[in-house]
Amino acid sequence: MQLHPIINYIREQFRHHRFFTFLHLFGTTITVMIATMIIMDLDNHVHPGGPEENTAQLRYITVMNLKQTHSNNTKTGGVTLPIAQKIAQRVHEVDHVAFSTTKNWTLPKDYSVYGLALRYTNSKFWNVFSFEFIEGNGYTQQEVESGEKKAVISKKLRDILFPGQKQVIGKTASINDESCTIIGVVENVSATCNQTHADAWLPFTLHDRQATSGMVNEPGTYSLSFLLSANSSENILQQEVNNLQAEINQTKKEWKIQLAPIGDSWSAHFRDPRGVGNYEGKFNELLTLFSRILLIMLIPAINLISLNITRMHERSEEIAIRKTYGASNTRLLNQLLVEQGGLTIVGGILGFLFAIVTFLFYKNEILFSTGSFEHIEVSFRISFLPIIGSLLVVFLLNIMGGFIPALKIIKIQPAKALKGDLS
Amino acid sequence: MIKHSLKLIWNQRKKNTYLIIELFLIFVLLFLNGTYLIEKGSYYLEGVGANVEDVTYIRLEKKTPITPNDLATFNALKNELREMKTIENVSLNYRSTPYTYSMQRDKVKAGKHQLNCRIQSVDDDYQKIFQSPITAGDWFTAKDTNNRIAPALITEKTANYLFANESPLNKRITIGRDEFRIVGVLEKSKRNNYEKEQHAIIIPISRSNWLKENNLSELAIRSYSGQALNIQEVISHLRNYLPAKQYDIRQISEMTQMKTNANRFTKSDILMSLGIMLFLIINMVLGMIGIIGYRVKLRREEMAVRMAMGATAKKVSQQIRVEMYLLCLLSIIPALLMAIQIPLLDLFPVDDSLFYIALGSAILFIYLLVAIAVWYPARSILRIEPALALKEE
Repeated sequence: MQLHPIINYIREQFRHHRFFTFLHLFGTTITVMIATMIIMDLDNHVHPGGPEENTAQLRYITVMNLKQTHSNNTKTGGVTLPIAQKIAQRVHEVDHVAFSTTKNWTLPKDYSVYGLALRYTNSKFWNVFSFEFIEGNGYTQQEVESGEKKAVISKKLRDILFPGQKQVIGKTASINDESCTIIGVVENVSATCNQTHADAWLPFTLHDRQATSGMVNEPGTYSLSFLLSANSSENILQQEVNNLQAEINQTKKEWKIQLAPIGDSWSAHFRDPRGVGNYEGKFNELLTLFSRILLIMLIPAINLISLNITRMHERSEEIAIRKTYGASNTRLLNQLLVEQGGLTIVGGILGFLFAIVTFLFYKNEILFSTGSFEHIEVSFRISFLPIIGSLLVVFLLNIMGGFIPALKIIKIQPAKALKGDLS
Repeated sequence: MIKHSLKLIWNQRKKNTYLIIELFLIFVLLFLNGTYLIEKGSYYLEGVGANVEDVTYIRLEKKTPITPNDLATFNALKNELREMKTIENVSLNYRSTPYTYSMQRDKVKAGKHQLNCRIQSVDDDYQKIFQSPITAGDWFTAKDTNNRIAPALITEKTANYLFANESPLNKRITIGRDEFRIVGVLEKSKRNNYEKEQHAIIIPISRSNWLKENNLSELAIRSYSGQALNIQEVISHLRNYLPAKQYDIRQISEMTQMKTNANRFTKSDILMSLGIMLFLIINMVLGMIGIIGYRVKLRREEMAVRMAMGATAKKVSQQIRVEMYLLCLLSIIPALLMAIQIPLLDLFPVDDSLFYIALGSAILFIYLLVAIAVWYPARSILRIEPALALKEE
């Protein structure tokens, strides 16, 4: 088909029955908007960007179970510090292993209180994640081991602690009641970055003794991150971790540890809040998500079908005449689908834009439905996943809302239709 | 007329299928969402039994377990803080502040009855901070707390469960090995707005688990209304008694902000489901207006003939209405048959009364929607001029 008639078809379709056109657009736009927002929400948690830009190479262990040998008693939590240290030292398959834990920090400043986050890390943390340093750099292994009070802070915290100052390296600030020397300033990290987000990063040796040693039979709060290099294999890494786990369990009598399998950002998002078990791969989770979107789409799609059947019935005489003059079924189907498709695509584009605008204004509320975010830093990005997702939704809507009625209408018998028998 | 309408629906069954499916889905959605909204709405309207306006919360963690000596330290601190111009009162409590997630539970015994209860450990100033309404008796005083048998308050819900029709005042209850005497009844005590009320008992902090291998203490400060609290000044007072070497300040927050945060998750959930529901409903109603309007247009001639033969316009438009109401009934019957199974099989984790209210309002609501959808097309019938309509043909 040439370009010209297609545009003509679509223009006619817009003018034809304005109320139905509006309904078609309304249904498509909002459905695509809802679907896009659901997908963008997921995408921003799985691919948060910032220091965790390198999602393909990053692997995590963030949960651990403690299981009592003679009963079903299980406790779930993070990894304990000794285990995290052991794994970081003994794993050879990857060069860089980071571990870190977070702590809330309340910073009173005159009449307001800032709710901030601290992260205690090892020195490899700065190698595993790609932070954008504005000035200075991270702490070294030696500095961590000797427990020096050095801190890396975010741009936001710099502006709170040293208003108006641009160069703060070497200055000291009281962070969580410890006076620390600032050795680096980094760009703000979005709170969607689960493994890196904080306002200040400190050596883990500064973390409270009590909390770090932990009780023997309690899970910890640490999480481990591995940076795979080009020639390291995930299977060998898993094998190494399994061997270490077996080694640790030999020394434990009553409570055995069970580390979660090494997972990527998908499993960190889906599995970890639920503990070690209960995860059957990202395919299952995506299927659940997709069926949820499909369910929301069902009502608008059925609405579109009945709307379009009515709309096409109005044109049954026109189609019957074209049929008598020899137009083939394929040609008629093509025309009807292009007309429908034009409307649906316009609705899809509008829906996609609406979703992005809504994200711009309500990103905090959408990405974080729990906790406090008065002072939280959230950024979002648009990657190919929501675009593909919304295209898929548009396609499905078009198939359901346009194809079914079109197939019905081209089956009409011209003689009957022209006589006025529309049933 | 009903018989005739049913026949018409049957004759048009192919066209009506999609409409019936759509009505069915919307009805199921209305029912499920309605149950959720009515449940959460009724919890919200109950309130939490605490006024957190002008209250600031401080969470403290000691690095070693708390000892009885610490109580004297906290009392001295409270006295010093009360001397600040902006502060009305200060209270020390343990796992009891509303809108925090921590709580402790234990078994409470009274006679034959036994109950798993939320235990709130607070001091005698707690009521002055949160202004919780008391329905019987009084709050315990500093003097009461040293009695051999410690005083306690319970909530109305707990009182009804434990003592049914008797007055709970001066009755004895036990938690573990400790015995308590009930001195008052509190209207209500909840942790956040959208939560179902749990059974709760309020005991003096000096007689509670606060002193048993614990390192957490919580302060609630009420400032005079409209006067901002100078937090750095509060902290400097705090540090006079609780040095940084021993105590960690874990959190300082305005409680109105904590309220917003604690309710946020449920609130955004409610808004989201309301938004999606609204969109689907608008979609359905507008779609129905379009389709019914089109059908009316097709049947203009038939209606004009009927009017010419003497039928009133009102009667003709009523025909369309009855047809749609019947269609709606047909589509919700299968949903009703399914819904009836729910209380019979105990599938739904809600009260039976809530279930029937939700079901009833879903039926009412879907009929309201159909009535709205059919209103415009039915009215357009009234404007048909038989002579004109037939002449145009």
